[in-house]
Amino acid sequence: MRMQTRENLAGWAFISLNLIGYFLFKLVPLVLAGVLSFTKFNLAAGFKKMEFVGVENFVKMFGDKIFRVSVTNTILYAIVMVPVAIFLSLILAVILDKYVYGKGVMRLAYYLPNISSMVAVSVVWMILFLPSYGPINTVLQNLGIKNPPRWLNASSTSLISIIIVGVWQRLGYNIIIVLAGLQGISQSLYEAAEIDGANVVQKFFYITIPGLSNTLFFLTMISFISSFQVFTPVQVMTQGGPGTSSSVLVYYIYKKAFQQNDIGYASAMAWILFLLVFVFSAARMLMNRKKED
Amino acid sequence: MKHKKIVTLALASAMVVTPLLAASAKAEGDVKPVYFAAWTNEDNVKPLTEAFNKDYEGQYELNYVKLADAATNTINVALSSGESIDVMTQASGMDLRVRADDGVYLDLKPFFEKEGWTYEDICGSAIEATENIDGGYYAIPYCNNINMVWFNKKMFDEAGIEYPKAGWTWEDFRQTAIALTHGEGADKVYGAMLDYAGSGGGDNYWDLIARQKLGAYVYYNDDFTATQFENEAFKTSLDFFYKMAMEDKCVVPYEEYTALKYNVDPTGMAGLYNDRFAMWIAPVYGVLYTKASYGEVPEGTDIGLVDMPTWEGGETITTCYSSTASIPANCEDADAAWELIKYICIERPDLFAGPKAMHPGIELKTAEEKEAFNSLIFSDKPGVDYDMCMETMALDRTLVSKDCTIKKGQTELQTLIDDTMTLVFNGEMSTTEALETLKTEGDAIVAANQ
Repeated sequence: MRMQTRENLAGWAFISLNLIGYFLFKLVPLVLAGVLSFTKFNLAAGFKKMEFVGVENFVKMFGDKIFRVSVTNTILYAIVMVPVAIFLSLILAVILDKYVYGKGVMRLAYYLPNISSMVAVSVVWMILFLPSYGPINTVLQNLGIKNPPRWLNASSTSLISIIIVGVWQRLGYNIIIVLAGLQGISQSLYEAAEIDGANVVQKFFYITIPGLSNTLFFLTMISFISSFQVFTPVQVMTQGGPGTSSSVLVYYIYKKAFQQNDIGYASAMAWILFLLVFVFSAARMLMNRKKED
Repeated sequence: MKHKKIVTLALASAMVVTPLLAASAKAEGDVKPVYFAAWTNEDNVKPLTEAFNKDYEGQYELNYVKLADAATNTINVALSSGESIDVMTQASGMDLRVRADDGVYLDLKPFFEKEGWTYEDICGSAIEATENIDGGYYAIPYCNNINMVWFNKKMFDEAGIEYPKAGWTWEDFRQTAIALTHGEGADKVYGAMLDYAGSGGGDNYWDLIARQKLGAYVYYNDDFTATQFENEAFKTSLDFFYKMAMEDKCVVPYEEYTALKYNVDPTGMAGLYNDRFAMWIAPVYGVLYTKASYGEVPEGTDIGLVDMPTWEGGETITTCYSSTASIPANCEDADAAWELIKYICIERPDLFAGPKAMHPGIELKTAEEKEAFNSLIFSDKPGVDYDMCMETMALDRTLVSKDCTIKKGQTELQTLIDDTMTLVFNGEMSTTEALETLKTEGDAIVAANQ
């Protein structure tokens, strides 16, 4: 056997386990969901009773008010939660990196929400958000706000409340990544800037942010992808309510598939979600490539 | 050959004995395993398993398949997994209907006929009407959960209020709740708690009065071609509970009910015996959650039971709902499955429904039978007034089934109701507007599912 062939085979052998896993647990389900999206299917009746309905499930989405609300809410969640979480983590990471004692403890404190169970965290936030005597509104009332928000119990603030919980949970992970990125920025750049008379703000905008561009790009991508898949806080805290004010796409897919047993329609929506994430990720990558060029 | 005779005899004997031994071995191995799937804790199924295996010794052996929960998906996955299941249980009438229509379950009517029984004789006319799907029966109820009012006697005593009695009115209920409500903020104690708006498995008790007035299949008109939310009974019902929640503020408000998870029954009972509210509308099986395994009941707890109020008073009409058992169409031995389902639901409901503190799905014919079953439900429940419970349950009452085995967009309709009621009880929608929405959008759902 030629050397080149042997090397190729060894390479394939190394990645084969991962490839098999990818095919079995990612690609096959993805294709199956694609097939199911053109059918009327429920799990109890099984595949024998599966009925091909063409693009009916996709057409149905256009007339589905809750689907439209869920898509809008998902996009809103992503475009508010991601920048806010990244901006706050950037500020906090710079502070943690340079301006506090006990960095390790502080980092741990900020990272803890990220490793906490979202179900448990959501239940605690439900109590914090209680309009009548929850700690948040008690503080607001003590500060003189007579009619504090009803948070999870009002259509106008339910999604914002979920975003707050999302930001709070996401911060720890973002801070750790940004802190790692900050270590890669050479101190000599800051020293040179100081000699040139740059102040803190100028150093932040002209050295720190450009130096973190790859890190921020990575965080933006990861955060957007995960924010499109937000589910647990909605399921635990609001179940999409009041009304449908906080319904998001994954929650609606879950509801259709597993509560209403409409697997075909849910699969079609899952494909739309996949396309949304795909289009966004591709656009973001293109933007980044252009910027690098 | 010297030993020819002996060898011949030995071979002949072997030819006779071997099949006999084989036959006896086959008879021993003929104990057929039967599989029963439900979401009940193993401990509560133990009496059933032991009794069945004893009664059918040498014939069948019961194996229990524990499901994670009663969710539609959990049961569908179990049914489609290819695992052996002879009897499957479900809590939802709608799920039953879908599975029956999809041919997942066997029609049990021929089995009833073979036994010389009619479904109505065994289960009563109210349940027969619900379970009759195009003339067939695809499930037998293994329990009947009757809604009652549990109340904290100690709180009544402290407030100097008389205990409620059967035949009371909804207005009596309201006035009692107002009188028992006191305190502010986190220390506020409410007069009553009920799942008045749909939320994650909770019940839509905002329509209780309408159900009492209109009977079964309350959301649909007589021929199931439209909804009937325009009926005055719905307005009466919704206005009544809206007033209690939003104006009198004497029932646990929606925001606390969801945040504190009172829609989960064990938490509901804990709220009652921990003096968070004085009355709790819940099924009889709520008594189960006074058992130590669900949390220690405080010393001095004294819980009473009374029938649900009615609008006019003087009568007892209450809602009920069933969980059912079915035989999957792909079960290997339908006769064995029938023996098992018959045992669980009809012959020995005391062994499965009983330990779960549920009434049986079949009609108990004599007062003695009823008393024995009630005793099974209420005995050994710490902090519960056994005598009062026994006396209350011995009374006659009219039951209105909440089960709905009519398709007609029922799941979508339920979602619409849940979404609308969360708006009403969060103070964002008026009762008139809510019922108009339910009528308009509900009719569209029913029409699309004809």
